[in-house]
Amino acid sequence: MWNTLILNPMVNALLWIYGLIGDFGITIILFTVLIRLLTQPLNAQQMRSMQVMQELQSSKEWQEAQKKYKDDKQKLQMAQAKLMQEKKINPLGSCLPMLIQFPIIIGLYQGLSRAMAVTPNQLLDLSKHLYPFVNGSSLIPIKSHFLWMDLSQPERVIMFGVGIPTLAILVVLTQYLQGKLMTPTSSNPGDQSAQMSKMMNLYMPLFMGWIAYSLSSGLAIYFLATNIITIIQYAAMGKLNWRNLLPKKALPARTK
Amino acid sequence: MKTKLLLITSLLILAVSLSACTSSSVASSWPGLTVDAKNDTAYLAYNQYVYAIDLTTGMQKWKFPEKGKAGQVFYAAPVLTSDGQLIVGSYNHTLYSLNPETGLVNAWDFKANHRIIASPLAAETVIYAPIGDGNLFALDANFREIWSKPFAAKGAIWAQPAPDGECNCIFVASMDHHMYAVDTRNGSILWERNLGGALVGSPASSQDGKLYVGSFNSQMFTIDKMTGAIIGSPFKTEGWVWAGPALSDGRLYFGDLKGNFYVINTEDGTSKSTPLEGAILSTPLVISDTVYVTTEAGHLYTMDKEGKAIKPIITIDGKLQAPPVIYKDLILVTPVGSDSYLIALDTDGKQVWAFPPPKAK
Repeated sequence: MWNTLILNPMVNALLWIYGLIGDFGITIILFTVLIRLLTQPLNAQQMRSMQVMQELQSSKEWQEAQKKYKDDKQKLQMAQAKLMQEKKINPLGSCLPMLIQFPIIIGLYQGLSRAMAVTPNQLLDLSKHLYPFVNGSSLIPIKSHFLWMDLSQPERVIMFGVGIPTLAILVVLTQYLQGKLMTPTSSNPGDQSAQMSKMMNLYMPLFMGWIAYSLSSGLAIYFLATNIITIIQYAAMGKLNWRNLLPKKALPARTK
Repeated sequence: MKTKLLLITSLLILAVSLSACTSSSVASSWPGLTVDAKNDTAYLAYNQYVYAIDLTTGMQKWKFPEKGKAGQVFYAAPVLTSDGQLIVGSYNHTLYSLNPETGLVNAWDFKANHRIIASPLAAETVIYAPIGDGNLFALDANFREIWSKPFAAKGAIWAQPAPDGECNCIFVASMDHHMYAVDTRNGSILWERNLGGALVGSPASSQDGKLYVGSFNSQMFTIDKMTGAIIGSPFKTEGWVWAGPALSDGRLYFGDLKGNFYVINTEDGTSKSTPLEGAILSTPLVISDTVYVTTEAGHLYTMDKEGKAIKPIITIDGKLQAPPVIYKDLILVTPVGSDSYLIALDTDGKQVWAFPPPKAK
């Protein structure tokens, strides 16, 4: 099921693009664009949910509930849940689209490993899962070098005898930047949602950086390309919150 | 609080999933077997260990290393050298020299820049070490480089090079679709030939100046050893050819990934193909009048030298990916995915003994 629906289509799409381009690094970047286009409805839904939630949190009713039940967390949660129910807001609406992308990331990692086939077992496995329109015999083995990287191995740039994981660092920076730019300014920095966003913006870059540091650089390129494309995509829609990059004190509280 | 928990759980699930993917890529390797009939010992390199096994009893003599390390995985058969070393390459970029009696590692090793998938070739006093980045090093007995620079193919080398006494050269099949003749004196290329598909198996070399090698473009080629010219039209197969062919008494034996077994008479060009169950990933074994071939479905087939009277004599619980090896009257097979890493069969396919590695305490 997993192979049929996720892995095999990904591997064959990667090889098909590689057959046209002849460079696996560029193939991964083009594949990222394709994935972003396919998951655009999910991303748009996530953005919409975040906006609706933001509007609700700025509303009078929400803030009154916060004041009224400031010493009773349970009642506050019940009041907030009721408000969300009234406005027909799914509390997981902004989280689910992100979760749905996890299988894509896992599938992509497996797909990259399978397509690059660096061991006999992987190559044998690949040979059994090629679609007829992919001319595997002429494409295999994939040339896994891109710029200074071997896409099948974790990336390091040796400087003064030390291996610097430049790609992992770029993944952390762009992921952090993306999180900052896409988080709406909260009217109440102390509320649960704002704390959640803050935590996400801190842990997610570190987590993605760790993956980029440990696994093949092909996957790190996917992360980096995803982050950059996402920033560009949201900038084009005018949805980036540049104010988050400025020091907090200089900002007046944003009401909406 | 619930959302926080959901986030952390999701990140953990993703982390575990990806970690699982990483380990699975190297968890199971490809068994490689070498037999020292004089000392009744088999050397099996598989997963994270090299095992020395007593061929009279099927019991373990020693294993290397004592405790397996992540990344130190073995894919190819160890090789015995004329000066009494057992050499084996590992996925961790290292070529080790072991004492075949004790399994203790010698003081010297060779660190490459890439994974080692292929077996080295020990020819007289020189060791030819093929590496996953396409380099091929000529080393002396203490693993010191002999050539001023290694021979460099354009892609990985997964096949053991084939020696040739007539031309001061070795033949190197590469994943880069090329067959190379490499000068053993300095590592320079004597000729190279693009065969249109990756070459995983070692070529078979004949006494009359021909080389036979199969390719991923579903063809078996006959090549002039001196010039690299392709002789005649390549023989077309239904599937990709993975392993090198066996050449015996003017007949060529090999299989493809679709499970077809081929016998070609090299003198008159006549051929016979028989569909078997399971992909054929190993070079057939030819002993006197019988040919043995294994398939990934776990079958060991026998047939006569004309490729007739094919019958499966045993089905092993596991995949048979590596070639069968002969020891006295026993056929040795190395199943993947079975509790027994090495099984000794008599010529009728009856199990004589099996070697399951002792469980770690």
